[in-house]
Amino acid sequence: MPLVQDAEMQMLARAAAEFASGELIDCRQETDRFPFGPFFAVALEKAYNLDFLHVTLPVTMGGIGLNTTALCMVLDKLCQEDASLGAIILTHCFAQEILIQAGAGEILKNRAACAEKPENFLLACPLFNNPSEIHHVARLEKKGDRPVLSGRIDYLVLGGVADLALVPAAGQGQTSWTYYLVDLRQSSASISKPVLSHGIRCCPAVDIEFQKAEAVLVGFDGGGHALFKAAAAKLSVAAAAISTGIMKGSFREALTYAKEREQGGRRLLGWSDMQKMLSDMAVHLEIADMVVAEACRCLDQGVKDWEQKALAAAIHVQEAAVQVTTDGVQALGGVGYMQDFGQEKRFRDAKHIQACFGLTPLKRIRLLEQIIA
Amino acid sequence: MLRTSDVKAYCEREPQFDDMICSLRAISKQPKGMLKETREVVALARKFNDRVVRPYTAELDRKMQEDPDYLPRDFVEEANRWGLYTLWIPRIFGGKGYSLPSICHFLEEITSVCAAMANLIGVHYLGVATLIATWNTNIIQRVFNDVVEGEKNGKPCLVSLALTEPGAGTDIEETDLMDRGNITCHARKVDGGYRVNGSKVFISNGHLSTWHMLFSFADLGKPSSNLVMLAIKTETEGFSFGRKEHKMGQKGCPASELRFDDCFIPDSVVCFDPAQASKLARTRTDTTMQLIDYVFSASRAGVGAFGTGVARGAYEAALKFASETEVCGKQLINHEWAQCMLAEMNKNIIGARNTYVESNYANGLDGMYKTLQVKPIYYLVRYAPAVVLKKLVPPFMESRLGTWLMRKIHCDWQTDAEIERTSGLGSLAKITGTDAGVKNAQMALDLMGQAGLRQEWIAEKHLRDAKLMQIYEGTNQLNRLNLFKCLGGRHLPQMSVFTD
Repeated sequence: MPLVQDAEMQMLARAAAEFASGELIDCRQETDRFPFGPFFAVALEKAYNLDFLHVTLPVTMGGIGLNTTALCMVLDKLCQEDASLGAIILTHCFAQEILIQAGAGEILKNRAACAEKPENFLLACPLFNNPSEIHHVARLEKKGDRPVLSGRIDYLVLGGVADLALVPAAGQGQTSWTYYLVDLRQSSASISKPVLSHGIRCCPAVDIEFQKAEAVLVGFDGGGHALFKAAAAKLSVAAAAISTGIMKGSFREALTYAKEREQGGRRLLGWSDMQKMLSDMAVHLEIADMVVAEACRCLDQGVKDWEQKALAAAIHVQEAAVQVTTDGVQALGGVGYMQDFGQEKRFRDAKHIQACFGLTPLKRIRLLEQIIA
Repeated sequence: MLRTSDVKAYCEREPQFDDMICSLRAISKQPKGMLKETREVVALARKFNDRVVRPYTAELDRKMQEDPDYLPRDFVEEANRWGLYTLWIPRIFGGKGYSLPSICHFLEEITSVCAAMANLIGVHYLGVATLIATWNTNIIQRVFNDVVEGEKNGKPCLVSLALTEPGAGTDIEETDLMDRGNITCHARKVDGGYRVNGSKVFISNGHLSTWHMLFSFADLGKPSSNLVMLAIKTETEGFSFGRKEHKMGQKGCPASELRFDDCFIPDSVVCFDPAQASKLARTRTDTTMQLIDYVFSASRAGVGAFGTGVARGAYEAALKFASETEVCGKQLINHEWAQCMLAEMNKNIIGARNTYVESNYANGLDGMYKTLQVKPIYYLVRYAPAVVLKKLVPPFMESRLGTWLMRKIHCDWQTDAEIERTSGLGSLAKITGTDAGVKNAQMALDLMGQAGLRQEWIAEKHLRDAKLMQIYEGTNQLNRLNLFKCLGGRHLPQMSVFTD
């Protein structure tokens, strides 16, 4: 990313790149079969120990306290090889941001201090649904003075990994909703097997059924939408960075193949239609790099209307990633479609990540609403 | 208003009238029975979908993820019980003799539910079409007998096409590229037949097929003029299966490696070779290209139908979701933006279908379906008692006269313009259908958000399945070049392709 300037960031970038090539590539094909293959527990634990999950957590809460630029840089590097770990970090950071915005940083601090394993540190949440669009929320009830949740939450990302989840809930007949923290280890939370998903399969999601599960209020009653909006605006740039990383991996793989593979007696790279396809991919990813960097700058510096810029960046970059990874498979032909290479996985991951924070077409409408407002 | 000669002259200008509206030219020539048959076939496909495909789609896909080496013999046996492997084999060869263009409509229906299962049926007919394209009537009779027998005794006998090689995908589909490419499947002429060495990859249904239509070459230095097409049976000595690929989608349909290690193939199953090619009017290289075009003109319309089907499946999943889901307080289906997206998806489907139908018309006028769509032949073959056909046809088919006559009609008498038309429209159908498939599947996921990411909604499966369609049967880049070569710049003398 163009914004990697200071030494600390450069060191982090190098560490993330080395981690990706050392820990993620070799197991990528096998772990992508999850739940039919192994979960990359070892890689996740190493990432946790290397503090990739702590990048944006404030120092006062036991984190490194870096900004969104740093987070995006880590995600970009990791996701060039495998987006699943990036998606885990994104999910956690989204939930973390909501807790920080809601003034519940103490919980994060305690978890950071006490966690022995990633599952005691990570937070699960429904990353791919905006509850204000599709009202998939748990039912809020009362048990004495205490709030309890019933009903079902679909596609709770990291639900089978983390021991604590941030879920939306609303009282009967209420349209406004609220975030609650739920300990997933309690018996009143029934967790499904991992949902079989399109992409980022090692960032698993589950469906969860609550039966009067004890919960802790996050923020204030009815404040879920505002918290979601604020956190999604910030983290949409991080999601875009994941897409940029995926694009880079796809382009690199396609270029390498085009240099090696022969067609009609010459390198594939020598054919002008292939050159055009690769150059189209390069244009997309160069622009994506700049767009994400600029969105990070606006966000980190608190530039006026950074939310609009962040959302526009995410919409643009994620759409570009879908196109680039589609071409990335095409450039390799039949080989690109096979699971032995990373291309088909990138094709799925890019489309999967595009669905972060709600319906893609509605994000455009939201952007316009922000501009008009 | 215009003299006949003027009409002719104006209509021969580019774009040529005969290339533009094949449907209009074909409609009066086409036997009326074809409409009834097509209607029947669509109904059959829908019934088969209800009974077999839909209940098994997600399960098969899941099963393949759990055990990538699983072979869906259970489904193939069921399709065999339903008679689907002989449905489009002409009655003169013992099949049920449904008109060949109707297979596209059948495949669209099946693909709208599961592309893998559509391939498990449709790819068999790619092998069948390749065999027919050689017009070696003796071998056609023999292989088709096996397929028919397989239906009777409950042991499915499928036919595959073995074309792609580890070092040659696009190269093996164009004579302009063949001689510069890295083609390695060698057929050496020996007494009484050929000895084959080499391998083929990504062969759909390979592990499940009994007969394999192999493209091999007598001279690897100049393969374009040394095509040897062989019908090889699975148990042949020197032939073996290699790995089965692990694909992103269409998982139920195996993509196999076929290995040939000093494999002897007797003359009795040599469908086509340079000696036979020398007897035809065109040069051997042009004949090789004609043969490839002949198969692909029909099969690419089929892939266009696959693409249309997957585009439809994605649309139907999105429509179902939109009709069942409330977004921002009202049904998604009643949001204007969603209605426009769904309309756009439907537009893609209808456009794609029209292109494969047009391609079918071209094949009926000028390509593979030509003879069987001549009205007297159509009605004779379709409705004459089987016992009569059995008495008349086999002796003719097993004679040299049968092969000679059919090759005369379908090879020598097919004009260059007819080849260009059928081949160009085949490519158009393939590109349009498969691009629509990928586009619609992506749009479905956009519309469905989180639900679309879940495999049980099948929308994401449609996307995984659709991507392969842009690659097999010639990548869409190759098909764009072929479309340009056949129907784009052909009237410009300075135009050349593959000379970048």
